[in-house]
This record gives sequence, C-alpha cells and structure tokens, in this order.
Amino acid sequence: MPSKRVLVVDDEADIREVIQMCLELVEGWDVLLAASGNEGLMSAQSEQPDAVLLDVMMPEMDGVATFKQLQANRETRQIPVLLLTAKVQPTDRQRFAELGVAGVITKPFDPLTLTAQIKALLQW
Amino acid sequence: MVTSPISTSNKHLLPEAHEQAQSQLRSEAILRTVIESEPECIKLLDRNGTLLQMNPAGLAMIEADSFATVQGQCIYPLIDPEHRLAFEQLTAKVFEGDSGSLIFKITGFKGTGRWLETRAVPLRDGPEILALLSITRDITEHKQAQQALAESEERFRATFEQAAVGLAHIGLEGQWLMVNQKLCDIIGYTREELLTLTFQQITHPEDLAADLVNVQRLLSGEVSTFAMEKRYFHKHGTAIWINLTGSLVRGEFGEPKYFIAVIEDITKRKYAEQALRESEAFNRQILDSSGDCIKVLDAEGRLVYLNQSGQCLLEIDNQLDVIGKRWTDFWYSEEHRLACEAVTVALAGGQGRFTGFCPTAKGTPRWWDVQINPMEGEDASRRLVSISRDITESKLAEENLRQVTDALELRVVERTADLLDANQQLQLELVERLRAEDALERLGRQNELILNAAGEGIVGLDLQGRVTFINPTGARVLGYTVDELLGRPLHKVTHRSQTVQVIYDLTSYCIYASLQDGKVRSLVDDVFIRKDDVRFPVEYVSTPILEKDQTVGAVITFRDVTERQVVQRLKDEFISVVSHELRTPLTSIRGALGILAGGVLGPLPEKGQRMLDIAVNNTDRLVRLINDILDIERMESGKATLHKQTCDTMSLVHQSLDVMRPLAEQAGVSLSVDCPSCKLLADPDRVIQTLTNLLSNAIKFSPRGGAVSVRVECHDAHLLVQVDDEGRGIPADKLESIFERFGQVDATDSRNRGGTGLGLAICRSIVQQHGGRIWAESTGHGSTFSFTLPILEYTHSLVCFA
Repeated sequence: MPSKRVLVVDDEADIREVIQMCLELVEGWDVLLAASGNEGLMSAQSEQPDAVLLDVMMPEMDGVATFKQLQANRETRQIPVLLLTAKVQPTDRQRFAELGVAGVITKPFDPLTLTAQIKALLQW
Repeated sequence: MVTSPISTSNKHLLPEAHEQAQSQLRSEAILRTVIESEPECIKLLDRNGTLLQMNPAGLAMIEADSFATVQGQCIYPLIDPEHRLAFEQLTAKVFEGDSGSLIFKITGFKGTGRWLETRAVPLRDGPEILALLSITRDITEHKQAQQALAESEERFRATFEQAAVGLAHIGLEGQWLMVNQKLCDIIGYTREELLTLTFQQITHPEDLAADLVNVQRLLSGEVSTFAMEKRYFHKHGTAIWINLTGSLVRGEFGEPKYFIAVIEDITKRKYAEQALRESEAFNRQILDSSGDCIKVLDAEGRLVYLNQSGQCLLEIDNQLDVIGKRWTDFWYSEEHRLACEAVTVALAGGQGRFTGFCPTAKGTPRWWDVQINPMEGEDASRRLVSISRDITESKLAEENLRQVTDALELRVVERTADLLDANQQLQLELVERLRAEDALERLGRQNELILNAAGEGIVGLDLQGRVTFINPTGARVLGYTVDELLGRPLHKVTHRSQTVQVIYDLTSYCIYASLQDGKVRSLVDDVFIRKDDVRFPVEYVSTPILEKDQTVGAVITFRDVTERQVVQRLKDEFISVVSHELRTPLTSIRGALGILAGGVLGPLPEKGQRMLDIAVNNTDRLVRLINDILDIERMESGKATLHKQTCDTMSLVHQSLDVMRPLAEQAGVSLSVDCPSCKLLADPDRVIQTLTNLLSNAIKFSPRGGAVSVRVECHDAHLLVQVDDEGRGIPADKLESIFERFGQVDATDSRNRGGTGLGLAICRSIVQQHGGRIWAESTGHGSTFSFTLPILEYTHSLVCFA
C-alpha cells in the first residue's frame, strides 16, 4: 500500500500529537496538522491529503461547519472526512451520517486500533 | 183590606142577583186572602199616583207601619228621581188603557233603597178606568247580584289586562281564547294574530312533550295546577324562557272547559342563571384542571373546599373525610408551625408561603410548595385560598443528582488516586514518560477544579466530627475561610446558637450517626448558621469514608437550598463538562498511554509495562464510568427515547454473545445458550446493552472453568430472559439494592472487577422503559438474573393501526 497523507484537524495540541505519533509509528503515514477549522481548510486545499480527521467540538468554526466548507469547495470536495467526536448519542451519529461524512470515530479511541478503524471506514 | 170601590159597587146589587152576589162575596174573600198573603206588592193608584190600596207585602217594601199612614198619599216621592218620570209615564199609559212594566228604585220611609220590578194594568169598570193595579216584586238582591257580577267582571277584566304577567285562556285544543297585553308583549304577537294560533305552534319542540304531559295531568284530574319552565318562540323566532302556571276550568258538571295560563317571562333570569352556571362551571373547571392542590379555608383554618387535583394529589378517597378539618393539623412538627404562621399572615391580609413535607392520606411522601392568600371578594377576611404545588419530583431529582454527584466525586477522587499512584511508579521507572505524567496531573487538576467549582459545600470530617477538609464553596456558604474551619467540630460551628432553643443530642445527629454506623444519611430540612449569625436552610448528605470496611470519617455535601435553581444550571453544566471537557484530556491520556503500552516506542521493562497496563485499564474504566453516568442520566431524565422495531430474540442473543465471547475466553468461562426464535417490538441496541451488561457481570464473577448460560422463554404476552452463572452468589439482603446506582455487593468490586457500579441500574432503566421487570435470585452458589419484556408483536401493531 502506498503511503497515505492524512490531515488531522483538532484544537487540542496533545490530541493532535498523539494521533500524529500513532499514524506515523503504526502505519508510517504522513501526517499534516491543523489547529482550527480555518487552518484545516487551507491545508486541505493546498496539500490535498488522502483523508481528513476532523474534530467536531472546536471553537469558532466547529467540525460540522468545516466539513460543509470542504464539501462546498470543488477542490476539496472529493477528500473523505472522518469526524472525531466525544458525543456518542445515537441521534448525533445519525445526523453525521446524513451529512455525508465517511465515518465517525469516538473519543477517546484506542491508538493501537485507530489506524485499523480508519482503514476499515475508508476501505484502504 | 179590601178596596172600597169593589164593595161600593156591591151595594147596588139586586135581590135576584143575591146568590150571585153571595158567590161574588165568597170569591172576593178568597181574593182578599190571596192579596193579603201575597208576598209581592199589590197596590192601586189613581192617575196622580195617589195610593188607593196596598197589601202588607207592599207596605213592608215601602217601610210603612200601616196602610192608614200612607193612604191617600202620592207615592211618587218614594221613587228615585231618576225613575220618577218613567213611572209617571207608565201611570199615564195605564190610564190610557195599556199595560206596562218598569224596573225602578225606591227609597222606603225608613231610608232603605230597593230595586223593584212592577207590572201595571188598568183596573176597569166597564170602559172606565178606575185605577192602576200593579204587582211589584222586590228585585234588590237580584240587582245587587247582577251588579256584583258586573263589577267582578270589570275587576277581572282590569286585572287580566293590567296584570304584570301574561295571562291567557286556552281552549282544550290549545287555541288561544283570550290573551292579555302583557302576554302579547312577551311573545311579540298582536292579540289578533295570537287568537289564530295554538300554544303548540309557538312552543319550543324540546319542551312540548313535557307541556302536553302536564295538560294531560290537568285533564285527568291528577293535578289541579302545574308549573313548569318552558320556551316559546317569539314572533321574531328567538326562544323565550317563560314560567308557565296552568290550571283547568271545569263546567257545572265537571266537564273541562278551558285552561288558564299564567305566563311569566324568565328569559333574563334564565340567561343570568345560565351565565352563573357557566361561570361556576368554568371556575370549577379551572380549579379542577389545575395540577395544583387548591383549598379554601374558613377563618378558623378549616377546610371548606378541595379541588379534584388536590384530592388526587393527597390520595383522599372521600372529600368528606377532610372537609371541616383544621388544615394546619395535616402538618407535623416544624411544618405545623410554618402552616400556622402562614394562616396567620394570610388572615392579616398578606401572603403566607412555605415549603414543607407532608405525606398523603395513604402515606406517600410528598413535598409541597404552599401559598396562602386571603380570598378576594366580599367576605375577604373570612376565607383563605391555599395553593399547594407538589414539588416531590424536583425534590427527588435533586436528591438523586446529589447522590450521583457525591458518588461520582468520591469515585473520581478514588480513580484519581489510582492514577496518581500509577503515575508515581512511572516517575520512578520511566522518567522519560513526562508527557503522560503531565496529562495525568492535568486530570488531577481538572478533578480538583471540579471539586472546587462545585456549587455545594463539601466537608470531610474525622471520626470526632472535626473538619479535615472543606472546599471553598463550603467555607463561603458558611461565611468562613477554609483555614478558620479546619480542625473545628462542624456541629458546633453550624448549630451554635440553637443550643438555646434545642438541645441537640449528639448521638441522634445524623452526621455523627453516619460516622458511627457507616451508613449514608441525608437530611433535607436542617438549618445552618453562618458566621454572621444568619440562619439558612440546608440539605446535606453524609457519606462515610470507608477504609477496609472501617469508617474513618465522613464526607458531607451540603447546599444552601434557597438557591435551588442554581442547581439545575450546575447539573446541565456538569453533564456538559463530563461529556466534553473530561473526555478531551482523557483522549490524550488514553492515546498517549496506549502508544506507550503498545510498545510502539520500543520495549519497556516488565514493571514499567505493568504500570502502563494499570494506567490504561483505569483510564478505560473512567471512560466507561463517564459513559454510564451520562447514559443513566439521560435515561432517567427521559432524554433518551427508545427506537423500537421488530426484533428477533435469536439475533439479539447471538449479537450479545458475540460481543462477550472474547471476555469469556479470556476469563476461561464457557457460554451456552437456549433460545427459541420469537419476534418482539423493542429497541435492539438497548436490549443488547442489557444482555451484555448481565453477561459481563456473570463472566466477571464466575470462577475460571465456570459456565454462564442464557435461557430465553417466549410466553403469550412477554419474553423471559435469564442469565445464570456459577459465581459466588448474592446475599439475600442485596438482591434489590444491587440495582441501585453504585449498589454493588462489595464496594471494592468496581475496582477489582472493572465495573462502574452503574451497569445494573442502567439495565433496570432500560427494562422498565420497555415496560418489563428485572430481578435477581441467588442460591449462594451462583446467581440468576432475569428480565421480562412485553412482546408487542408487529402483526398486533398492524392490526391496531389498520
């Protein structure tokens, strides 16, 4: 499998770092980091990653708004997006699915199986 | 006395005619006798009205003592001037040879007025008219009767016409025979129009039958009169309410002749009555539809009215049981005093208000928010209105929240201590893992922040009741600084000035009782005294701190209940903090620990690996605990709704077993299943959650090599699911309490077996939400957990909705 480039968008620096280490060490993927929705939008457009891991609860522009902007942009529309969320209500899951995201990963996650989860959701 | 002209004529009789004369004399004697005894007046007058002869009856009429006193007098002066001329004319007429009659009035010599009817004929002797012969009858009584009748008729007519009510004579067929003006005014028809109609034609159809029944009762003689309220149609078509009194007039032989109807317009009264009824019904409806308990009290505080809601809330079968009783007697102890005070305030015109506990008639515990106001209106000072709102639910909710919060705080402290222990070990052995340690410290700080930010006072006490710890909120609520309180006995600080009024028995004081027997206690109505001597109501829970089953102290969480609303806000904030703020650092911790423990950064020494595994396991448990707490909070607050669909029992059971198989294999426990296929309407995720919870417990408490079995039975209306294990069993006195939150048999179980203490409480919530029942049985060797679910088959629901 050729190496993947994954953009991680999360306002929490520690979580960004944990995910980065996890994806790099376990699968050897390239990891791009963004600390806000806006940074994520710019990075997605310029870097064209293979997937975006997007936190839902962020200040200013939250994950759902960021996802909608990614969808609205012709150049980022095709990039699959996985939402990271601490919210686990069935109604939230349904709402996210209706938005058209590629999948939802619940926080906290097990770092050793995180890449397996991503691969299963994106069918890599 | 026989008249002289007759006798005079007899003097000239010839002897040969003697016999004839004799005969004539006899007949004269007869005639005289007749005349003398005749009850009517017989008199002879000459053409000038001079009395020639009169019999005794006549003398009586004119009130003459004897004939001699009136003989030769003219009788005209006796005759009423009005009739005198007519009498003179009659006299003249008779002397012309005619006869005639006259009704006239006279005044006797003694002044008595009389009506007389006379018939006068000429008394002839050949062609010569000798005198006027008249026979006169006294018709005074007849005349008077006639006059009385006329007067009576006139009076009747006047009464009939001028009556303030409608009057009518109605024929036997219902036709109006005679009506008065008032009746015409009432129903808008003219007299002429009305006389062409029948009463049936203008009677409201709904009232006709009753009216006809009454008419029949009159006709049959069953009643002599009746009264009823009925409606006529006004000429303009509107309905008019009238009060009808009917009676029947019968003829000489008892035959019905006509009806008399008295008709009174009561439309206004009816409308007023109706308006009053409606307004009363409206008020009653308002009172009854109010969810509050509304009572009216008299000036002595006795209950005179209780609305329907009140009757329900108080669980009173019969209102009469409480009406007339003194309301304040329903309250006890402190509440009794508050109730009396409130009544006094309201009687003085103010509003009495208090919150208190009062069980229902059947003993159900209820808390009330009570307001008493003087009733507005004429009798303002005589009546009071009391409105009591049932606040039991919010009280219980607060209670529950407080228990959860307390328990959570305790557990957070415990978990934190675990994590910090692990952390210290890590520091010794894995100095380079600073990041992970940092994260753990952050969690500790976070917990401390939560503790400090809590809206309740939290005090730690030692066995002597001295303050070993108090959070800033607790100190602030009491008006002290933290340092001022440390080491001082809480009881003396918070109840100091009460010693004057109430001598508290230290042993009965609930916080100290907790310290002695190690049981959780709560008190909802205590009063604490602030440093500045201000008293304020508090609720508190006293939770003993146990160490190896020994009580070493107690944690008291208390709250100023005057700020009840703050609690609700804190609750929502707390849930939100737990769901996001707490998870975010946990995500970092769990991720970082996972990477380390997974050996991705290289192999670790054995002890280091062990420490990391502990940290990972405990982090996972903390996550589960938070999830479970959120879950049960959502379920019990009704925020979680069931997504019911048709499910198959086999599928549900096998999905649950699939989830649990790895755990069972790890624990060396075998799983077996006996489950027929059966359809039911349920939320599959929730049923699986219940089953996996029960299976997980069964596996955790089974010895290695033990067996866990799932059995399902499908009955007519419900499903029975049973999970058996071969574990250590459950003591009989815990069979119920294990379904409470954190109600484990052994408090150390949650630490040793990795549970959260909420699993069974969640199972119970889910099963109860489905309308089922859950329970546990134990023989000492192994336990059986059973639950039922109603089978609401899909086909049934189709029929229902068809």
